[in-house]
Amino acid sequence: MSNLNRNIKILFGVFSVLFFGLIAYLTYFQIYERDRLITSSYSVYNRRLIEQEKKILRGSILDRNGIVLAKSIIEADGSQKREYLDGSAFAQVIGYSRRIYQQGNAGIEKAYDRELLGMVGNDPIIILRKLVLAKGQVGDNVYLTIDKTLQDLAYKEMEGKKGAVVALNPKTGEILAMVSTPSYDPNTLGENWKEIMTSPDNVVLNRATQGLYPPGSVFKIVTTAAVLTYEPELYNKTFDCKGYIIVDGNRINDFGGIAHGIEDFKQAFYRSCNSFFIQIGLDLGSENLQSMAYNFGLDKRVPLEIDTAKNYFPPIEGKVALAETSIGQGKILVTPLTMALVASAVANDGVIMKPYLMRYVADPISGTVIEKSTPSQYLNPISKKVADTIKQLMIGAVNDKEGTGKAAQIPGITVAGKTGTAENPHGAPHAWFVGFAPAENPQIVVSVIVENGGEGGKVAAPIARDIIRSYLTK
Amino acid sequence: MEEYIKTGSKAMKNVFWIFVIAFLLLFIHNKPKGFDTIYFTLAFPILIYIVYYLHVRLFPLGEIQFIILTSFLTEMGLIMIYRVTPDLLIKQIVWIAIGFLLYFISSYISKYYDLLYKLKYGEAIYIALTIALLGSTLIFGREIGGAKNWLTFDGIYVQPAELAKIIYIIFLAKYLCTRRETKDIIILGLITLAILGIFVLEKDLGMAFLFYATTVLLIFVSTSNLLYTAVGIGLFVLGGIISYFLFWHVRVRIEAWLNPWMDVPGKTYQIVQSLFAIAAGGFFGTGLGMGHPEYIPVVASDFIFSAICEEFGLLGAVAIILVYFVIMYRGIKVALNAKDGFGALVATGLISMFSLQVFTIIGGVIKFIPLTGVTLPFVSYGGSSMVMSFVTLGMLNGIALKEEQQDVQFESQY
Repeated sequence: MSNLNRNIKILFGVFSVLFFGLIAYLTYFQIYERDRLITSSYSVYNRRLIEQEKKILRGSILDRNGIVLAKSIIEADGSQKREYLDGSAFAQVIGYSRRIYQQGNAGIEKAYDRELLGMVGNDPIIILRKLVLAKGQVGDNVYLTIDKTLQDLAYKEMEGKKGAVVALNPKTGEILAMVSTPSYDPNTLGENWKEIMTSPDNVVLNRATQGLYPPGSVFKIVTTAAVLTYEPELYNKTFDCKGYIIVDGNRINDFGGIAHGIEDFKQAFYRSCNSFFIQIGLDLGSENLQSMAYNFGLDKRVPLEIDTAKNYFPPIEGKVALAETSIGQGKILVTPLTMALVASAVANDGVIMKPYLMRYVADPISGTVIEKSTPSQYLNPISKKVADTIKQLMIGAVNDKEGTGKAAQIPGITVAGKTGTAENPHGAPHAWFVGFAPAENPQIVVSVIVENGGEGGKVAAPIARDIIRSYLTK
Repeated sequence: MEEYIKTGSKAMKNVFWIFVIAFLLLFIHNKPKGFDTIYFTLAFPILIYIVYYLHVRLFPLGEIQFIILTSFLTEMGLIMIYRVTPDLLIKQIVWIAIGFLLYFISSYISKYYDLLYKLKYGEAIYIALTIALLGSTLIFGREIGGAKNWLTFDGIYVQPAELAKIIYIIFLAKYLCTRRETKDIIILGLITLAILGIFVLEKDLGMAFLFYATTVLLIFVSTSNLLYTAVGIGLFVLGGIISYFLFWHVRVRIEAWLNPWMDVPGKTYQIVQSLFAIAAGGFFGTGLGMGHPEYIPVVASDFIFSAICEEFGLLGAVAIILVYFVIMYRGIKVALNAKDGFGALVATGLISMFSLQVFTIIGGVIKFIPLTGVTLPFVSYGGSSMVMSFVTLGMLNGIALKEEQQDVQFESQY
C-alpha cells in the first residue's frame, strides 16, 4: 500500500474542510439568514414568538408628539388587553394584531409587530437593562408621523361621509393624517369581530391606501405635466369650448354642459374644462400621457409600511379611451394616497418623497431610539420648471375668480389645489380635492375624497381647507 | 509526562465545573423529580474522574484526549437532555457508564487486532455478520421515526447498524489489505450495493450514506486510485438522482433541503423548527433554560445540536464542532502511527465513519446538506449510538497502544 500515510493526510484535509464548512455555514446563517428567518411570514409557525408575546407587555403606539394612541394593560388574570385611546379615528391605520385577535393582522400593529414585541435591535445591553429595570419584558414604543390633532379634525370632517383623507409633508414624505370613513371602534373588535369584518360598508378597508377610485379632473395635473414635458407648444393653445366634444362619434359633455367659449390653457385648468383637456389629450397622444402617468407611479403600488392597493392604469387603446383618460375618467383607478403624492410632486419641485408612517421606535425605559425613518426619494416624475408652472395653475384653480377650488381659500395663506368630480357607476360622482399650502413653501399636502359626494369644489375642498388651516395656524 | 497530566487534569476541572454550574442552574429552573435523578447526576462527575485516572494509570501512552473530550461531549448531551426531556437523564448516564466500560474493554482487545487480521475466512465472517445484523431488522425490526432499523428486547431498543458499522470497517480493512485489483474493487462495489439495498428497504438514508462514503474513502486511501474514487462519487450522484425519482422519502428530504418553506406544517416541519431554534440562539445563545428547544421534534436524539445552538449560541455550537475536530485529528494521528497497514486502515475507517456521521447530522440540522436521521455521537440520546461511539474510540486507543506494546516488547528483548 504505497502512499498510505499521504492518503490519510489527504483525508484529514477533506474532513477539516467539512468541519470548517459547518462552522462557516453556521456563521453565515447567523449573520445573514437569521433576521430574515425571524421576520419572515413563516414565523407564524415559530411558537417562540407567540410564547414571548405572552410574556412581553406589548409596546405602545404614539402620535408624533408622544400622545398615546394604543397601549396594552395587564388584566387581573394576568392576560393582556389592548386599548385604543382614539379608536375610530385611527382604526384602519393602526389596525390590529393577530396576537390579540387570533384571526388576523393589519396596519401598524402588523407592520411593526416585532418592534412592539421588543425584538429588534437585539442589543444585549438593552435587553439586560429591560430585564433588570422592568418586571417582565416590555416591547418598544412606535412613534408615528401622524399628528393626532390633525387626524381627529380630519375624522370629524369626514364623519357621516364615506371616503378618505391623506395629509403629508411633501418635503419628507411623513404622513400627517390618514383617515378612512366609515370607521369602527377597535376596542370592540374582540366581541364584534364578525360584524366588523363583514360590514357592508367595508369599515376595515383603509380607503386612503386601499380604496381605488377614478381620479377625475384631479388627473388633469398629470395631463398638464405631460403637455409641459413632451409637447410644451400645446400649452399656448386656445380652444373654443362648446360645452361638449365629439370624439369618434361619442359626445362627451362638460360638467353641467356649460359652454366656456374661447379659453386658454390657464383658464381651462382653473375652470377644469373637460372639452379643452380632451382636445389637448388627443393632441398629446396616448403614449405621452401614459408615460407621464407611469412617471407618477399610477400603475404601481405605493411603498408604505402598511398595505396599499396597486393603482390601475391599463394601456390606453383608441381615441375614446384617450379622451376619457385625459380627464381622469375611463378605466384608471388610483388610491387617495397616490393622488396626494401627485400633488406633492408639484409642491416639492418635481420630487415625490417616499411616504412613511413611523418616525422612530424607542425603548420605553431608557428612551433609546432603536429604529428611525429617514426621508428618501420615491419618484421624480417632472422637472422643477414643470412643477413650478403647474403650481401656478393650481394656485389659480383655488384663487382665481373662476377657479373650481375657491372653497379652499384661506385668508393670509396661498393654497394651491385641484378639484375633481369623478363619474362612477355607483351613483353620484366622487368629490375629490388635492392641494397644498403655503404655495411659496409647501408644508402640507392634502388629498380628500368623498365617495358619491358630488362636486369636488363644494364637498372636498372645504375639508382640505380646514385641515390645512388647522395645521398651519396651530 | 508530568506536564501532560497537569494539562489534562486542568481540562477535566473545566469539564467538572461546567457540569456543576449547568446542573445547579437546571435544578433551580426545573426541580428534579426524585432523589434518583440527584444521585445519578452526582455520579457522573465521579464517573468521569475515575475513568480519567484509570486511563492515566492503565494506558499512560493512550489517547487521554478521547476521555477528556468525550466527557465534555457527554456532559453537554446530559445538560441538553435534562433540559428537554428530564426523564431520559438516568438512562443516558447508565449508557455513558456502560460506554466507558466498553471503551476500556475494546482498548484492551484491539491491542491484539492482528488476531482479527489472521482469522481464517475473516472477510467472509465479517461481511456475513454485517449483513446478518443489518438484515435482522428487516425481518424482526420495528419502524420508529420512519426508519425500520430497530430491534426490541424486552423494551430495550437496539440499533444493530451501530455494531454493523464497526464489523464492516474491519471487513473493509481486511479486504483492502490484500485485494486491490480492479476486479476486487468491483466485487467490493457489488457487496456495498447489497448493503445499500438493505438500507434502502429500511429507509435509513443516513446509514446508507455513511457506509457508502466510508467505503469510497477507504478504497481511495488503500489504492491511491483516483479513478475508483471518481467512479465512486459519480455513482453516488447517479444513485442519488435515481432514488430521488424512485423513493418518496428521498424526494421529501431533498425538497425540504432545497425549499424548507414548501410545507411548513407538514413535510418540512422538523427542519424549519430546527432553523427557528438556531436563529433564536444567535451568536451568544438565549442562555441555558431560557430558550424553547422543546419545540423541535425528536430534539433529544437527532436534533440535539439545534438545541445547543439555541441555548449556547454560535459560540457553543462552534465549540462542539471544534471538539469533534480534535477527536478527528487524534484519530488520524492514530491511523498515521499505526504499526501496519491493517491497523492503519481500521483506524482510518473508524475515524472516517465517525467524522462523516458528525458532519452528516450537524450539516443536516443546520440545512447545510439534506437532513438524514443519524445521531450526534456522544451527545444525542440513545444507547446503541453511545455505546458504539465509545467502542470506536476504544478501538482507536487500542490501535495506538499496540505500537507502544511492541516497543516495550522490543526493548525487553534486547
